[in-house]
Amino acid sequence: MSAAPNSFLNERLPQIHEKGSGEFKMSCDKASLAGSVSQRACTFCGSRVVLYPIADALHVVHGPIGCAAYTWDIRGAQSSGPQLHKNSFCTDLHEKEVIFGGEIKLKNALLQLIEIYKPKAAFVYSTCIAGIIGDDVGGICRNVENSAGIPVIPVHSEGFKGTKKDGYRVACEALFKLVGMIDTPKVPLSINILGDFNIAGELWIIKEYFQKMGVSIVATITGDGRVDDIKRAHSAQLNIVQCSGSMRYLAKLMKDKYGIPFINASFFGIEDTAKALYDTADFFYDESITKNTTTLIKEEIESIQDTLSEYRKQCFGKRAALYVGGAFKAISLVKALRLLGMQTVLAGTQTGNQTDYDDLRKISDNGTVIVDDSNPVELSHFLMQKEVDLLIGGVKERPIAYKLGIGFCDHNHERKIALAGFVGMVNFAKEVAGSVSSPVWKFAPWRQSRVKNAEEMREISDRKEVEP
Amino acid sequence: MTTSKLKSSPYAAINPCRLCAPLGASIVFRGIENTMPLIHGSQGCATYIRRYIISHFREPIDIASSSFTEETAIFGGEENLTKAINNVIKQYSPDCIGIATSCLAETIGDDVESAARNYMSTNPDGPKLIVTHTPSYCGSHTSGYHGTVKSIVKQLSKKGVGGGKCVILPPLLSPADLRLIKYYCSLFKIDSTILPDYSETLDSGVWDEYQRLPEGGTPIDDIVNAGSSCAAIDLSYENKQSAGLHLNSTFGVPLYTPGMPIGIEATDRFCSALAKISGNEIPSQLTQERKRVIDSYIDGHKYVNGIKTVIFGDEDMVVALSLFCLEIGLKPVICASGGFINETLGLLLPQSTFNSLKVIDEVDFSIIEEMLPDYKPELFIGSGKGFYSSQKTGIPLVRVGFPIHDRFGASRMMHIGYQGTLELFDRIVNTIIESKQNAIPDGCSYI
Repeated sequence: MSAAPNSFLNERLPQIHEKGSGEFKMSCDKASLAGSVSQRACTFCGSRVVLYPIADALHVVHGPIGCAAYTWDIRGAQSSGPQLHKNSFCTDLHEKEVIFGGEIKLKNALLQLIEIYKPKAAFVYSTCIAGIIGDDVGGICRNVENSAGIPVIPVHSEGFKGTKKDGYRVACEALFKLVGMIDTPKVPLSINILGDFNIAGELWIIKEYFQKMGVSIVATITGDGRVDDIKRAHSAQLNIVQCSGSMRYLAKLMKDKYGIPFINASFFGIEDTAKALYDTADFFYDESITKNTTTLIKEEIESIQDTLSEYRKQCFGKRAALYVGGAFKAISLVKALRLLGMQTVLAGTQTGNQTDYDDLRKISDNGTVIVDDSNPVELSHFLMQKEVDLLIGGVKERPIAYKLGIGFCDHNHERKIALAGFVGMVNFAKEVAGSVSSPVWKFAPWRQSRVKNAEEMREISDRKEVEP
Repeated sequence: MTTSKLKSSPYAAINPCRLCAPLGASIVFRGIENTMPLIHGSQGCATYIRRYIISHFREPIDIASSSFTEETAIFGGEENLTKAINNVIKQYSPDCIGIATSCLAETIGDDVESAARNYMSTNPDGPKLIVTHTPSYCGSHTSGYHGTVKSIVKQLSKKGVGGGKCVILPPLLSPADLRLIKYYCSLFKIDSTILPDYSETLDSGVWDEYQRLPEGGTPIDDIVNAGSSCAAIDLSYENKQSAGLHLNSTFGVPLYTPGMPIGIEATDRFCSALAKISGNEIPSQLTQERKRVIDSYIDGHKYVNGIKTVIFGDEDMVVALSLFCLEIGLKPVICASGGFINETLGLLLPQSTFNSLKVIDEVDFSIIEEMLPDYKPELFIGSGKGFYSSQKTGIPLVRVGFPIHDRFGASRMMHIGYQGTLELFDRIVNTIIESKQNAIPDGCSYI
């Protein structure tokens, strides 16, 4: 990018690009820079958030209390049945174990917790400290698996091992150990849904679409996830991969071993939801499914049009920034915001890769800033420079927006409103409109200094509305 | 009901009731003027702690990380630490960087003190570096908090000539509580230094422009001058290894330990200390407020009397609330902390009272839930993490202290002084009233 402020770190500049400012080659897929205040967590976090929604598994953090405490109840991933995942289990390593080893404590903990809570499988997360003191987590897991009779899977997610994205890969490896454990014939016209975590019940919305289309679902990985479903996941004919950053690797592993093809999909926004459903229908090439899909999409879109256009009036002409985990979501959000008449002036992700950023750049307008693994210094700078009206992000980004009097939409783990599917687009529009049109911004000094600007924007918007 | 009842295990912490030490350190460093917290460890430690603190205070908090990689873990972290310090300086221009160690840095044996000394000697114009040792496998966020305050005083405070301010050392309280301490000092006309003081940095108003390091915090000069303070008041009950003791033993600063001022008796002790230090009478505003607290105690005594209560949370809060509950007639049946409180409560309470309570150290929510059938409590007072236990059992929860992630306004919640006591008492009484009201089948609009 050109003319970076002095306070930006030179080593970060290859990860910041303004479209139209010259050649584009995003530097990404690398460790966070020391001292940069990355919004990312660690490898452990990547594994923990991916596996977390499996509701009938025991998730044991082998490490100190902090790693467990900060990931207790970390996602709003809902379950239609068991709720074991909502608890936090930790070996709570103390100084004694750090000196003499934590293997015995881990073994005893696993044996006892499996006895008490009767999970269908156990995931054992290695944290930094377990890795550095050299506990043989894999050995303990094998040992306990033999006596407990359930899969006990080590998750080698030591925080220092890489980025959050490396944690996704480790989680996929752990999941892949379960796949194929139950011998079962292929299920006709069936899919697995990978990479939806059932935040605010979003998976249930998507499931209903597939059911209406006549497509069977074998396993949902990992939203509302069950161990036995994952064990049978190889019996599906197709993998639908939503969060490509986290789950594409599992899809690849399944393709290589079981020959199951996969398609990338996104269920955020009308355009991408419709595309995902049509792509699935195209894959099966089944007359009934195609007909059902066309009807479903037509009806769904018709049912939300009027409400959407009401919200669009409130959103029109406003400028948005987004900083999210994965790039696939970022791309969908740019489109969804465009549908609401909003321009995305800043788009960033924690874990995008080169191809993702190429795609993101393609659909962005000139002048849009694209950032990888950004930090509050950069984000706050661009929020002000680009005179943003709305930030889409997670809890860590929220106060950056609010302190400046900028609206906010939570599109992360803790959201309580379903934003997926067609109904999700309406909810999203309502969220965005509700925040950008709130009367409270008139009291915010930084925002108020832009009132004149905002009034001009409104006039433009009004003019557009009366045009045919 | 979202989850079934829990069973505890001696080998595991299940639904923890404590956090790790670097979190306490980060809050303390955020309360020092123009200071940037930096956690020496993996990126996740800093990010998780940020998220946890942001969810409670609803304020930005930037915490840098030395972002360990596998190579750092093998070959040592000094190079990454230096890089992190340089990058923090470029972005934040801090006067001070507070370095808290993680378990990883401690276990690989990084000599962070000498790294910090080397850095400061080669960069004499750079910010001050303060090191605190906070491995997650030792203690809790409370011990990390107090240990960091002590580290700051040990590394910065000097015996000086001027100043003479009164240093007040609060435990982990809300920003509103810290403001109340300042108000009390102003009423007594005491020139005070609150250490740490995150009353503004973690609860500021809306900003005119983005502040990378928010305004406010304890002035570093005040900490340097703390050795010549007229007095130090330690408001924690956990003061065996405190910064106050250090000031007292090293510089001869007179130390007062009235405890955490929740309730009339504890606030009276705080006021007596302030009166003694200032030589001023207790101001009439406070005597009036005190009377209002007594009046409301009387008005509400029948609602609270004998109500069996479980208290949980961090060490300071549980000890203070236990004394407060006994003062108003609530009947604490379980007093539990993720840290250690047995010894402190044993010293503070009459033997018979102490024996009548179940006091639990290193508790988690599975241990608390397991004990409920034996004690049949009617009220929970504790952090927001008691939500699931409350939801499962139908026992109402009065949220206090840290963390509160499931309610609004935690920064403005007051616990201490006559005013905070009154607010807390009102909330407790109203929670009990609401339970009673809900239990009347055909309702009642007078209670």
